[in-house]
Amino acid sequence: MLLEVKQATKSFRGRRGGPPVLAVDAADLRASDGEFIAIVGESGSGKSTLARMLLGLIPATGGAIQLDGVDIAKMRGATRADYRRRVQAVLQDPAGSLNPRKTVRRCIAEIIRLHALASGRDAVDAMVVDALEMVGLSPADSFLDRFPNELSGGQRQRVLIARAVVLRPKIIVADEAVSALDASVKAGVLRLMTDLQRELGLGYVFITHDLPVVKKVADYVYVMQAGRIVEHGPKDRIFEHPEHPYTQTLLAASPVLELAD
Amino acid sequence: MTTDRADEQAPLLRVEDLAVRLPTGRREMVDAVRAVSLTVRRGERVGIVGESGSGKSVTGRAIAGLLPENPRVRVTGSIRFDGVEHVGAPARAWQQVRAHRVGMIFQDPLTFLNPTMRVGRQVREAIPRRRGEPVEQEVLRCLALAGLTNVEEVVLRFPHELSGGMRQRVLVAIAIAKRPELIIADEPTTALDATVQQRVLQTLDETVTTLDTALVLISHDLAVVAGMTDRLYVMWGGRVVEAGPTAEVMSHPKHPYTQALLRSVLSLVDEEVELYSIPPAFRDWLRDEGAAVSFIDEAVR
Repeated sequence: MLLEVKQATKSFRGRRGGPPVLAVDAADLRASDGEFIAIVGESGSGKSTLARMLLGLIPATGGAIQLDGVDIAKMRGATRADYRRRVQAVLQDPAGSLNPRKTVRRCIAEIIRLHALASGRDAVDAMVVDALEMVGLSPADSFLDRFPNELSGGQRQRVLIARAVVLRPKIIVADEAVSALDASVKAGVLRLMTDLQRELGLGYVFITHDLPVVKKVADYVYVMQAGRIVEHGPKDRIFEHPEHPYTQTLLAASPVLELAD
Repeated sequence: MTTDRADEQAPLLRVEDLAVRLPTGRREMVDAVRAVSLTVRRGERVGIVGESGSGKSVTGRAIAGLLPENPRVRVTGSIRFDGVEHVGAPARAWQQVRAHRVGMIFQDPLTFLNPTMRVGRQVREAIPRRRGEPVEQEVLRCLALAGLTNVEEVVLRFPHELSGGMRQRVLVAIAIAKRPELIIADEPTTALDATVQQRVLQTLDETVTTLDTALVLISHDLAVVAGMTDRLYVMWGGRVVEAGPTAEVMSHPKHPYTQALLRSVLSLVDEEVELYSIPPAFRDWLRDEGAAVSFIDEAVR
């Protein structure tokens, strides 16, 4: 499966009659299942706007987003539902993405019913349990009836991943999905993500400003600055021989842990 | 209130057996800080590192005298600034010390800055009134010292007109405006982009060196704390589990928790090692017995 951004542009109306803001400027990007791609850039670079365009949450004002050659803006009915199932989102703030009044069971079960993947209480419950075990929330029974505020940050992020993988997607768009987590928890969630990549053949579009993490997990890297993709390439090439001055600046700035030994 | 200011060797800040209990609900209380002892000498840089929930920020707020004003908040132990005890002392006494001698920098400049007031005035208000000194010059000097350029322009701006990095520099300017003896910085750069973070840390570093100010830097980011401090305190579960010279703690961690924390941090940057997350069973052990053991370097005592 190929999710492709072709010369996509998104401009927002300017403030008080000012010139329009080009949040994303003629971007090209290719994401496929099984591949871990990362979009890196600083605040305001347009990386989150691009993520939202990939998810079909905001329409492109120019160019197109295509899934296996079909423009997502033109999809209707079953094709659109299929796209909605195969491309999933995991966003930064798990507290804000989960309804505080719904239990873990309910928040995953309603997705299953919405996509009609199972019917009947027992069948749905079995799928929920399955998804929770898959993301390491085990034993799943002990998490089913908890509310988001009864979970830690890492557990909430795992619930979001469970809610995404229960649909058996091909690509997960993760916008700063681990940025707010402590190092140990971050390592745990990243481990889960790479395990799922291997086991389910999942692909990721991982949006972050955290370069060390990208170096650790990504296969292919896009660098964004001021709405434009200024450089892209296989991870090793980007980190060892960055060509664009902005990439070089970014690499030089990421904090390095130096040990005395 | 006791005073031993005559003793020149007394550290600038000495915290002993600090415990803080905070209300979390109508009846429930949480022991956010259980037993924290630490010292900061004049001009020294001290780091407090820990994960969320370790009690590091509550410790910082207790030292800064900024815990919520709620009669159910319980603070015990001792916090002495320049020999003057302030646990149990009248709030006004500590406010006097804070107003003149302790500066603070927090993560989120937008909640700390007044949105309706121009930057220049906010810095000016932090400058203690001394007779005959031209305050306007001092405002510009502080902003320049905090690494801002074009300061004549910046003083006229409102906080929302500045970028995140510039706002954080304004906080640095406000913190240094009173020429404090101690600056407490709680996650001062966590919300910033890497390139901006690097520049703000550099500024903070230069500023505390120039003014010979002591610094308490609180962060979850080991890389940030390691690069900025002389001594390091590692917190878990409201306790200090390890303390010592930063380089020593980083290269030869003694407490199993410090070792595990370092291992997970390194696993995020080292491609050769597998991603490591501290196992839940290890945290259970910490809660039951592990955190009660501490490795405090003799030099620190």
